[in-house]
Amino acid sequence: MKSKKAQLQMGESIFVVIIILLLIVFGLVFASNAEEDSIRADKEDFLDLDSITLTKYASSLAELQCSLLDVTELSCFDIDKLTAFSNVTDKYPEISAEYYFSQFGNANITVHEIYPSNRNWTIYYNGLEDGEVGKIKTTTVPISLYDGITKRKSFGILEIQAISK
Amino acid sequence: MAKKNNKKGQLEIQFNWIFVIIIGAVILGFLLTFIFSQGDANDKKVSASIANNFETIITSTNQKIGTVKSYKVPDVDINFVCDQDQGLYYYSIGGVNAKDTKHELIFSSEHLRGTRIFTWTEKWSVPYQVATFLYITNDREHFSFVTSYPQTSLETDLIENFADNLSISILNQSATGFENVPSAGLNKMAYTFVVVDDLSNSPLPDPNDFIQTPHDRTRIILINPKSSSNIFESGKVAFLDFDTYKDFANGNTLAAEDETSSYFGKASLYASIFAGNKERYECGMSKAMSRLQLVTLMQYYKTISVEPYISSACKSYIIGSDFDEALWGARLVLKELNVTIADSDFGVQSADDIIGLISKLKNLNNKIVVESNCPLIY
Repeated sequence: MKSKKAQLQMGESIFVVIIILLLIVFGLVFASNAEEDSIRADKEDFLDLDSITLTKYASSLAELQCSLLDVTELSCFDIDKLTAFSNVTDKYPEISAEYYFSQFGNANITVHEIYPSNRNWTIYYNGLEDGEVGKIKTTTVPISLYDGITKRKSFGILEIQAISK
Repeated sequence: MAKKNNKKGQLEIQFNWIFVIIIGAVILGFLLTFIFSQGDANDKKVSASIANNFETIITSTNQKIGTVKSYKVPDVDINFVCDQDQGLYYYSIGGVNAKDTKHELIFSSEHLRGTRIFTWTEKWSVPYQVATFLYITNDREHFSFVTSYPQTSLETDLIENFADNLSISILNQSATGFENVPSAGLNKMAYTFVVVDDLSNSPLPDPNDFIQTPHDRTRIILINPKSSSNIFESGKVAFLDFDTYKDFANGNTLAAEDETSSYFGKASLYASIFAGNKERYECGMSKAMSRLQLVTLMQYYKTISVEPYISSACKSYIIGSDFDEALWGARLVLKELNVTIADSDFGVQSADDIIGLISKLKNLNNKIVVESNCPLIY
């Protein structure tokens, strides 16, 4: 009789332990899911932040900005410098590739001339490859484009795509 | 029989207790491990969050040239590592490596700890704009400018162009000695004394007259400008401790030789003051030179891209003659400048060569501005 009672008591103890363990496991699963959601939200925030940083950096690149002597003009790109930039990045990847990758990372940066003519300059390209999945955040900034030969300005857009792979 | 049953009951009760204690210990151990790992992860999360905010501070500050900004930060260690020999360039916050800074032009002490940091920026133009230098200090670093009697225009320029709102004292020299000498009671982590050796052959001040701070936390930046009218153009800068400075001031000119570097441009001179030692300054400047090389190459290719569209009059400025160095156009000067920068070890000689070529470029650009309607070089 007593042995049966002891068995029952032991069964009770085991049952309580199992329930506690189950509760802990459920708690952990819930916590890790919440953490995953929070990481996902953080990732989106970081992409937004990256996009702002990139836009700020790209629109103030000294090697592309219009300048008169030592004074640079905000939101203005020199067309001759855009051409020179493409030449240097094509011909001297050993100097330029790592530098710009460290500044821009995964992004595409293009300058579009909108008026009076339509021309495009790809400043930087490190986008998604075929079949690759990722999020793209596009920001556009209105800029003016200066032609040093004709001394005329045209209207353009700086398009920055920040990519999260 | 009753005795046997009693013994069995005791065994069962003991076993129950042992079972509960073991399982309880396992659960407790598991929970404690979980709590501690969460605490550790949380510390890292806080450091990462500070690092992320710090990165935003650095990026946004970089865009606003000339402004001093003050930020309240948690009291954690911020370390800026710039080691050319080992190829290490990063900053860490609270022991977490926060960001690679291989291409960031940041000049600061190696170790900062305080609740308020200050950032200041200067653009580095040589003569076209190359980069923005970011200087970082905190409320536990003090800068003192030691002046001559009477104060020279070079010293005035250096002080007036320095960042506002930092912990600064100007040690005016009078007939009776120095005023505003910082005492050890200021309780700062680092004291930087800036002395200008202005080529006037007047003796350098005795360090005992203006240094009362602990010697192990004191550094002296001795600036020797090349020009007697413009301190910022170019010159030499020595990073000395108390004893080496004393030795040098007493006439041992070789004492500072190993600690001397060169500067050109305002941003570069102020970089030396914030970096505080030769290795850190030259490490930052070597990154700046890589950037200068890249921008110079672009300026060179700009002269190529405009060539088909410019008049023959413009060509004399932009392209010039290959055969006579006196008639070199911008393209040849930029080409030579690029080669000189690539070979530069940031020694005094290479700095002189670079400054000579920059001066040629400035003259050509000024001629274009005044005499012609050609596209500007910069």
